[in-house]
This record gives sequence, structure tokens and C-alpha cells, in this order.
Amino acid sequence: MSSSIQVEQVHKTFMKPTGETVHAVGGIDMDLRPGTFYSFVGPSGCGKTTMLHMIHGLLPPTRGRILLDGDEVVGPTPNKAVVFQQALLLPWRNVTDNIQFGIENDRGMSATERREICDKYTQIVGLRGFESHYPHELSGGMQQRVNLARALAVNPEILLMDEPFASLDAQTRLLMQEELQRMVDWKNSGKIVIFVTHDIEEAVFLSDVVFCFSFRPGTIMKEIKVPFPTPRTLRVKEEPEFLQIKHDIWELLADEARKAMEE
Amino acid sequence: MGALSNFYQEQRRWLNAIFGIGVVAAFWSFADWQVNSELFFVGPWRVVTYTYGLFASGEILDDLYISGIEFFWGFGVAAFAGIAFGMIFGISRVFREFFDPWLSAVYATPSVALAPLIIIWFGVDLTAKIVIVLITAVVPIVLNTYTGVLSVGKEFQTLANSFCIPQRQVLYKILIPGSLPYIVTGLRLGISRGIVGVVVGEYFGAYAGLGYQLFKGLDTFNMPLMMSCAAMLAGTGVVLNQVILVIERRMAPWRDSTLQE
Ligand SMILES: Nc1ncnc2c1ncn2[C@@H]1O[C@H](COP(=O)(O)OP(=O)(O)OP(=O)(O)O)[C@@H](O)[C@H]1O
Ligand SMILES: [Mg+2]
Repeated sequence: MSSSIQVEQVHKTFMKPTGETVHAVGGIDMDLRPGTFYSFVGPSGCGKTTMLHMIHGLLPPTRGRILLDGDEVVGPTPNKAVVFQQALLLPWRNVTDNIQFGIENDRGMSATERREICDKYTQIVGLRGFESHYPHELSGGMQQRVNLARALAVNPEILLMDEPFASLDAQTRLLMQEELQRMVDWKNSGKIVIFVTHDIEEAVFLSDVVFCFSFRPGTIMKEIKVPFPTPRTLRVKEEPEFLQIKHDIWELLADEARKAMEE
Repeated sequence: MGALSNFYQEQRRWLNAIFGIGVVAAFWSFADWQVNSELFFVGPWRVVTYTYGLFASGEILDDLYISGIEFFWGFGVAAFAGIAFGMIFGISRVFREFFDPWLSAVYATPSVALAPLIIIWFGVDLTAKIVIVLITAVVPIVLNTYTGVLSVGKEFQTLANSFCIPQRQVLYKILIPGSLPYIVTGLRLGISRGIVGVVVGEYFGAYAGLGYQLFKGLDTFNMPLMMSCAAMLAGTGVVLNQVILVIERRMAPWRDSTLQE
């Protein structure tokens, strides 16, 4: 089973309680194919999170539509999972129970299987030994890793990640970039991964396709294909072609970032 | 020196509390010595011995039992109904907007004002007192529970929604644990108000109870009895509050480090 997603002329306008409106997403088209890793990069406030949430069905588009295998997305479904930008851990659950949050309603899964999955992802995100810790006893980076493990545990066909590595230290971040490729293995499993990040190098390193967002209202300025075969090792980051792509995206986004700063 | 200050640091809470009790008891005894009339005032030691006498002779046991029953049922029903209604208030905006004025009205009305009506409607027996305790105790429980539900961030709803958690489960996976600190506060206020309810209920006609004994003391110029009853009521409040705190610590280990402050 593998799914594809069509985003057709999607707009999102927020209405604040004061009556003010914010045009966050301004007409986006995307054709997302199975077995592909996509990144969203763009200035802060350009609608990346909003777009991600609309794809999951957490927010309805104001205009346009989003199709998953030809059917309009009307709400979250168990074949999609989000790593939220804020860790959003339940303070009253320890690490294991937080990781388990998304799979405890899966009736096809026995308690032991569930346990094994939790153990596996606890291990992968490097939280062995912290199973019974509560969120307030974890560092920001550790909380973010629980957030990541919670989504991975669902083993979704469509994995939506909103700056999942933002609060990790530089070393862990590099390790996780490599590790993520092994963990999710989207090529062979036919998954779609969407990864939001501010780190252009990270986006290019991980992605098959990088979507560059313009400043608000967010539109796709450019869709850049990254030709390197996957899985990649960190050495790829030194290749001239990699540096060239990174540089091109930088140039493209610099102007938009300036607009964002001037707001 | 070091050992002594260590001992103080470790046991600080208890030592300070005992010291505080001691200071007040000293002033209290001094006042008693100055007044020197059991008609107007009795010292702390006399309250203790008098209370002990009440227990030893067994004459207070019936009253404790009656008041206990009144409180147990009144507060018990208030706790269940209060948490349940608080949840409904918190979840349903229509319900909240509909009944909020009534809730505020009951909250603002002193129980002394309602008690005579309830006595007339329910008679002088136990039921009336249970209803009085219930009505006085239930409102802070409802109010706090529903404030608690509202305090649970919308983002947790989004989270549950995102992982396809059914609404029914959101209640016990998100809303109840999320509002637990508020529920506990509500229960603690409910205890204090419930104890007031017991006394008020027994004021308007009763045959037994701690409040009844207190007012009997008033009629018979029995100051030791009055102060002893007052002390027992206060003691009950303190003990029950501690019980709730211990239960909370058990049920909510994730708040441990904040609670110890
Ligand atoms: N619920 C909301 N109500 C009103 N405005 C909103 C709401 N959510 C987002 N916005 C606005 O929409 C715009 C896009 O927000 P969004 O969170 O999608 O940005 P982003 O690209 O994810 O930014 P960042 O990189 O900083 O996370 C912002 O201007 C934001 O203020
Ligand atoms: Mg964002």
C-alpha cells in the first residue's frame, strides 16, 4: 500500500478574534509521490506549519483542496502522523506512555507488540533508561525526541515532521539525520515524508525534493530535486553539487527572509 | 553544630510547624491566665483534657458519628456530582452559558441563608443536613473542575485529534488528568465549606452532632465544650485536607517536584 497526495490551489486565511485576517498560505500546488522525502523551507511565518497541518486534516483549507489517493482530506487518519513543532508531551505520562499514545487504540496490536514497539523507538531516539521519566524531568531535546518517537511508533504511511530536530544539539542532530533515513526507509516502504526545517543543509541532505516557500502568503517559489542516491552519508555534504544546491536555495530564500524580518 | 543544622534542614517543615503551634499555644495560655474565667475562655491544655474526657466518657461519640455521616454523604455526593458537572460545564459551552448565572448565584449565597429553607423542605432529620453540606460543598468543586477543563490547552485537543483518539477517550486521557490539580483545589475548598455546612445545618434544629454540641455549649455557658467542639471541627478540616494532598501526590507523581515547593 502506498499513497499519493495532491494539493490543489490551496489557500489559508486566518481570522483573528479582533477581526484582522492573516493570509498564511496563498495558492499552493503540490504533487506528492510515494517513496519520496520532501522538505519545506522558507522564512518564519510563511505558512509551513499551516500547510503541514492542512495536509494532515487538522485545519481545513480556506480555498482549494487536498486529495489523498483521490479522496479529499477531511480530518486526521491513522495512516498519517505528525511530529509537532512544540513537543506537546502529556505531562502526566512518562516517556513510554507518551510514545505509546498513538498506538494504544490499535486493536490489531497485542500488548506485548506495543511494548516492543515502544522499546524499539525508545532505543532509536536514545532514551533508554529514561522510560519512566516524566516530561518535566527531560531536557528540551529529549522531549523533542519523545515527540519524534511517538509519531514513528505509529509507522504511518505519511509522516509529517515540523522542525523535529530544532532543539537538538548539533552532534545529535547530525546523527539523527543519518538515523532518520534508516528508521523511516521511505524508498522501500513507499512512504511520503514531509519535513519542515530552517536548516537548508539539513533539507538538502535528507530530501528528494525541497519546496522553497515565499514569504507570507506562502507560495512555492521553487521545487528543487536533489539527485544524490539514498541512503546518504554525511560526506555528501562536502560534494560540490551539494554545495551548489545549498547555495542556490540560500540565494532564493535570502530575499524572502529579509522581507520577513522587516515585517 | 553542623549535625544540628542538618537536622533542622531535613525536618524543617515539621519543626517550624511545631514551633508555630507552640508560640500560639503560649499566647493562648497567657490570655487564659489573664482572663482566668472558664465562662469566657479556656486554655489549650484544658481544651485537650476536656476533649479527652468527652471521648473517654463516650458522650461525644454519637455526635461525631452523626456529623460524620452528614459530612460523608453530603461531601461524597458533592465530590462525584461536582466533578461530573464540572466536566460537563468545561466541555459544553452551551451548558456553561446556560447555567453559569445559577452557579454564581448559589456560590454567592451564604449557606446560612439557604439552610432554613432546606430544613423546612426536608425536615430536621439527617437528609436536610446532608443536602445542606452537599449544596455548600458542591459549588467550588464544580467551579474548579470546569476552570480546570478550560485550562487544559487546546493544543492537547489537537494532539489527541491528530492521533485519532476518540472524543470519549479524550475525557479520561486528556481532560481529567489535565484538570486534576484544579479538581484537588476544588475538593479542598469543598471540605472546608462542607464542614461549615455541617455546623450551619445543625444550628437550625438537630438532636446530635458536633455543631449541635457547640450550640448546646452556648446555651449552657459551657465554654470548654464549645472550644473543644470548635477544635475538633478545625482538626477534621486539617486532617481531611492532608488526606487529599496525600492522595494527589499518589495519583499525580508528575507534579511531585512542584508540590514539594
Ligand atoms: N491559529 C491561527 N490564528 C491566526 N493566525 C495564525 C494561526 N496559525 C498561524 N497563523 C499565522 O499564519 C502565519 C503562518 O504561520 P505558520 O505557523 O504556518 O508559519 P511557519 O512557516 O510554520 O513559521 P515558523 O517557521 O516560524 O514555524 C503566521 O503569520 C501566523 O501568525
Ligand atoms: Mg512552523
